[in-house]
Amino acid sequence: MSDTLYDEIQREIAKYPDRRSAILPALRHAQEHYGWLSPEALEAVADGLDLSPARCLSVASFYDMFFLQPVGDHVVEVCTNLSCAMIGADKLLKEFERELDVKAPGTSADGTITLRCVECLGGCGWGPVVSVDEEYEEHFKIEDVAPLLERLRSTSRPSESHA
Amino acid sequence: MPESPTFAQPDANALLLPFAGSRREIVEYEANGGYDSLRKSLGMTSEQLVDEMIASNLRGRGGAGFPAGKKASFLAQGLDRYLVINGDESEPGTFKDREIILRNPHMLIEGIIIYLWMIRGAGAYIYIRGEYAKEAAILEGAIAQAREKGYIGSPLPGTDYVANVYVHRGAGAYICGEETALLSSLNGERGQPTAKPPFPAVSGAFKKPTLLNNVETVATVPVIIGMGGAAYAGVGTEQSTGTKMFSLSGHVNNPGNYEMPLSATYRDLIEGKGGGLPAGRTLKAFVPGGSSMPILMPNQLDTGLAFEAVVAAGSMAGSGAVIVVDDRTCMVRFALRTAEFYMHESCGKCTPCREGTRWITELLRKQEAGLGTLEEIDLLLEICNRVEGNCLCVLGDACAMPVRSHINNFRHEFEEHCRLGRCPCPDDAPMSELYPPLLKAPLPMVHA
Amino acid sequence: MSATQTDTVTLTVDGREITVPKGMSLVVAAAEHAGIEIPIFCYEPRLGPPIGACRMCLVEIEGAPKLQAACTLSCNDGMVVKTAGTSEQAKEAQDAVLEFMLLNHPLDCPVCDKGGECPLQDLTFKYGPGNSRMTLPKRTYEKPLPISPAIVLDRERCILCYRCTRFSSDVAEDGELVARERGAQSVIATFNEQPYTNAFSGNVTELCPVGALLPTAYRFKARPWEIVNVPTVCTGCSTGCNTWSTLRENKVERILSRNNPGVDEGWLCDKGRFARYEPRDERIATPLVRELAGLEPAAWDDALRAAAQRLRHQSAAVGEGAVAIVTGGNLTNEEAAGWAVIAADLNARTASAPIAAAAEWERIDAYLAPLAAIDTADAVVVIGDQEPADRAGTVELRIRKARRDGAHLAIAGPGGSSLEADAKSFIRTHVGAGSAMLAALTAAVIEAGGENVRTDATAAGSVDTLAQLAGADIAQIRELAGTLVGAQRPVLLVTDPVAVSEIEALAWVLGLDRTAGGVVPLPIGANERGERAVGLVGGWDEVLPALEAGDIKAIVFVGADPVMESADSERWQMALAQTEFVLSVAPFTNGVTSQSQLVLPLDVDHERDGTITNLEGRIQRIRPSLAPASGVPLIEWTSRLAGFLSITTQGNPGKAFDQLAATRPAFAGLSWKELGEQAQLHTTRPAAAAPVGVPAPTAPATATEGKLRLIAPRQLMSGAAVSRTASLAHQRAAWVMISHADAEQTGVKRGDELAVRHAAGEHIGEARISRRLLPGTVRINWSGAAGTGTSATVGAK
Ligand SMILES: Cc1cc2nc3c(=O)[nH]c(=O)nc-3n(C[C@H](O)[C@H](O)[C@H](O)COP(=O)(O)O)c2cc1C
Ligand code: SF4
Ligand code: FES
Repeated sequence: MSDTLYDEIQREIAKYPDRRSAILPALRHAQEHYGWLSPEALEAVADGLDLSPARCLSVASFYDMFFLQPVGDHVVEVCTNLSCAMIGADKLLKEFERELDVKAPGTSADGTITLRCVECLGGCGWGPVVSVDEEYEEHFKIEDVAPLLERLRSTSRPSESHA
Repeated sequence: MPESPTFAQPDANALLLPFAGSRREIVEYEANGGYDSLRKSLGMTSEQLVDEMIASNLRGRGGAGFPAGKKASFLAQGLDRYLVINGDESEPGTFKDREIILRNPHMLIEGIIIYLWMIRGAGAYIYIRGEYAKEAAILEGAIAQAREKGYIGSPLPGTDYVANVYVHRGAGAYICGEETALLSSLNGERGQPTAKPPFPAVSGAFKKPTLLNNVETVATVPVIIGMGGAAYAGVGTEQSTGTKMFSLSGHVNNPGNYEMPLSATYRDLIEGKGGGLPAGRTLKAFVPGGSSMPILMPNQLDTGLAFEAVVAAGSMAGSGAVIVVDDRTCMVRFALRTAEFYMHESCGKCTPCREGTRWITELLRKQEAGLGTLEEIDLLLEICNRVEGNCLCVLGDACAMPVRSHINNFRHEFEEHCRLGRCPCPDDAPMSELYPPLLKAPLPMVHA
Repeated sequence: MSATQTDTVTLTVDGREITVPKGMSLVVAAAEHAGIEIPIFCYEPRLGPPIGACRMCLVEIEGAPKLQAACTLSCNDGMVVKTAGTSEQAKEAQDAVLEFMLLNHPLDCPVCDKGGECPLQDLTFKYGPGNSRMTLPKRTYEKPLPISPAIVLDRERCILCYRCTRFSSDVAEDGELVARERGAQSVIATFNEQPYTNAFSGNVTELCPVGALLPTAYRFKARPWEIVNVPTVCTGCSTGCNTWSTLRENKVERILSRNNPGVDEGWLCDKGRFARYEPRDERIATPLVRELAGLEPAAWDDALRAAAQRLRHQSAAVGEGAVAIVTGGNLTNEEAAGWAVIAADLNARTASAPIAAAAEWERIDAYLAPLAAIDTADAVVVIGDQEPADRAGTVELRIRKARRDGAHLAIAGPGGSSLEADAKSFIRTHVGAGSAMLAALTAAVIEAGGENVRTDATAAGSVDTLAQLAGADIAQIRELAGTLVGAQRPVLLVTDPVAVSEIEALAWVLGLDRTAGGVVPLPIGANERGERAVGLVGGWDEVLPALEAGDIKAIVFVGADPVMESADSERWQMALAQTEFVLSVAPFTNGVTSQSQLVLPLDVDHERDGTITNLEGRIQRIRPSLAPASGVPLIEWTSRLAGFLSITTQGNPGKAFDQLAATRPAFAGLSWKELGEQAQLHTTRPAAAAPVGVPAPTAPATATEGKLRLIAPRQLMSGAAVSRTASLAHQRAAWVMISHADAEQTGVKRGDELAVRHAAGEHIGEARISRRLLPGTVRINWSGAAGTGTSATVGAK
């Protein structure tokens, strides 16, 4: 598997005049492979980019979308920035917390769903916005919470760490 | 669930999105005159193209409103010159670039190819915020279609110039919208701003001369080349030409993106297009250009949307994100939620921003909880002053300016919190619960 | 307009007119030049372009709407600058920044080792912290956090100026020390709490402007007013970095750099900074004579008289070459001069370097480049199996800087060295192919021709055959030859032990004597060049056959230990067992002392007074901060030994130096009194002469069937002092590097424990996997000498 990742990284590098520029795509591929950016995943990125693992960690930890801790099979993110919060995202999040019995940020006890709140997702006029495994659900209502969680619980995101 | 997202009704006066629904397929786009401007531009020299942009007087749509033609004329000479498109769109309230990409991606691609041809660029990179996964895929698809049609990856008709266009996804950092931070990020560094000079026009992507513009700015290029710079300059006001996308959100009946001529007013937008506030509510304040701008008050509704008009009113047009705030909203909370965002997004490089946004946020937390003091309201204002103007980039200002405006316009609400020792707003007021995203807080371990 | 008018700009700072060179100077530097202080934290020109992060240096510029960071602002003609000294606005900003910094800083100055030497403390005292309106809880962190056994980090004191991380990423380029997280949560960290192992890591303790990064060894050791700083020069390698040694209660507690831009640019490697010859009570402190029971202390005069008698006897009885004096390139010029006189009197053979070719290094002087030539080079070529740093520590930092400044860096070797990742070209060769590579490159340069090329020279063969011999790609060699021919200032460094004539041939055809570049030699001993210059010439490899043949009856080792430091260890041991008289001068018991009849104490780094000559020929003064362990300086007892031989040598370094100045060309024109603290470079290039004959390259090493070729060059982090310094243990942690292909085949994973068996022993270390290392080879960081190019087997531990 690490060789697939290595090859993917090399393909990303080919898009740029400098291999360093491929670090975000490389980290993204690694996160897809490993489920999160474990030390092992970061070392694989470092190998693919010919950079130090510390540099990969430094860059990864700067961005919100990279997980330096294990996460559930699904990641649910609720935008709680101004526009969404003003039209009920706060209550929505509370409902998610109640249904999942976990405080954001956190992962449900069964390990399936990680819940967290995030800053403005760029859907302010179509809010409240919830991002589910990087796909936006807009005009999200409290009634939508339970069916969504039910759907998520019944599918498991393919990820190496759980395979 | 309603279709997500829902687009506004078509507007005949629109230049960028005058149609209903989307035109993602290149055939649809071409059937409506798409890529004609590119063909036209291939018969023009670089200088002619730059002159056309200067004649249009188009001002950048990313926030600062810098004249696009002038910026293009500053680009340093050099063999490897790059075009970078800023699609980071993370200023709270802003979602206009996203609608352009969702509905009319080829307009952006066409603008990119014209600009690349204008600078004979070695390549273009669209830096799109990481969360826009679907939009990134749409752009990849549009690039693939343009490649098939020979607009990308093979010599443009009648020339030996080959345009190369790539999509580069961010990974969740508002600061990467700031141009030098974006370039650091594209160059594989932490997305932190760098001191200017050197300006991107001299050293940017891959340390080469770089022209950097916002998605909407570049998407407007085909319009300008198509209708001519002078004709474009006839729309809007003298200093703010053309139409611009405005993102309307908050307590308004019809939120969404609206393309408005820059000669219109906030009243036209909020009451006209937006249908005003929901029944029974009154306007308390509105954010005129993204959460980093000082708020404006109801008596300023007739302020023009033009860059110069908003400045005259004491704020800035910014990214064109208009957030409508109704009378039930607690302005202390509003200020806190604003400050929290900037603290969360401060890159941590320069001292005043890193420490100042944190200090402001902590003091506002006390205020909101009713634990603050009257002196601390003044202290807050002073910290805002000490942050503003002293930072490496303007993210620090983006925190200080709105917070100061919240305090100055609604000081009585802050004082009331102090006096009562709690927030006076009812439980069902907007934002009654505050959920600030924690600073990369460690997530609990997955069980099992 | 005169040239001076166009080349300078004049600006006003706080009402004072300042003229500085155009486009070069930043406002902060211009102000400093004029004696106007603008406080700074992040600004440090040696770390590359300024970043303007701390905002301490904000100044008012007339006509500018906002305050500007003086550290990122270039001077313009007519610019009017007001610092906090004259501008209310700038003063307010400076106050603000200081207040922001102190929000989290613990202000634990009384218990901080930086106390008294801390700019943050000074500024806080000077301007006072903005009154106590900081009701915020300060950030707390676990502390102190060791980031390596040598360095501790206190995150609470850290002001996030990013000097240390910039050093790691932009100077040493190791990328090991980084900032993680974002915004107010940013912290300095290594990967996964692994130790910071870069050989230059200690520099961050000097760069840190507060007490956040401190050397472990110095913690709570001394307060600034209890110490004495002695200016001296490091004797760890031939670079000769300038240092301060901090002395307290008769102990060297700390080594700091003493920036000599031409030599070290203010950097030290961790060997120079942290390695100590300790513990002192294990040192050989008196003469030792072998008795039946072993080595026993003896009186100085008895020992010296006995030594003189034995040496004189062999020399007189057997004649020329019966005595050998073996040094290791580590004596001072003055000490070496004394031994050279003794050697001449005894008709003795001498050997000052492991390989004989070193004796001919003077021929290279026609192409000799100063270290500073690397900075301005447009092409830098490094050829050989070894890392340049293993020969000359901080030279590596210069090579990296040259590459960052745009020089074409080319590395030719078997792969797996740290400079390759960012090199413009990497040419993979066989192991030990330096000689063949030089010959191939010489042939390719002749073939390419060009204005500066001496095409009349003959090559050792065709480019094809020589490239094949080196195992290198012919197209890459031709391309590099093209680059070299077109370069105006190329610099060549060879890390393989090759014959001088092979380097000379390339330098000659390239006309390196005419260009601004040249050859930077990489001697092994710190003062190899100086020892040669006073007459101690020859190589250990020439002495050994004579010793084995029994031609040498008496041998003296002065700071040399071929039993430990040569790949021919066993041969030396066997030959010494049959030698009639072995005398060794050593700091600790070592490989040769155990076979000696007489052992005398050797002074080490901080005990010596005199001069040493660095690789570029710069003659620098080293000063003692401690008395020798024996109480009697080497140069003094050498002179007494000479007395027993009825000859005279100088027992005083100053007199010895002036005598050298009067008699030896390398020292001509210098005087002890005028040496100064920052020695100038006086070398001049002699005229180049056509090389004598075209050397046939030596064939690279091949491995026996089924075995791997070994690469085990001497490491920078090796030697008597390093091996005795516990805080450097992590730098010596054993590793075994194999190629990606070999790892795939054998299923070895990064971090596995591997054992390498080779002629000189067994090496067990953590697996490293390299995608550049030549398959079929294994690279190890063996601290002894293991014979690069020989065969080895690799297996699980
Ligand atoms: C903190 C900060 C965030 C910014 N975010 C964005 C953004 O998300 N998108 C954008 O186009 N410009 C953003 N900008 C403005 C850019 O720095 C830059 O001015 C702009 O992209 C230039 O394009 P334009 O000239 O076409 O407007 C931001 C600026 C700052 C200071
Ligand atoms: S580079 Fe050499 S001379 Fe300089 S500090 Fe290191 S060991 Fe000493
Ligand atoms: S010294 Fe100028 S910003 Fe730090």
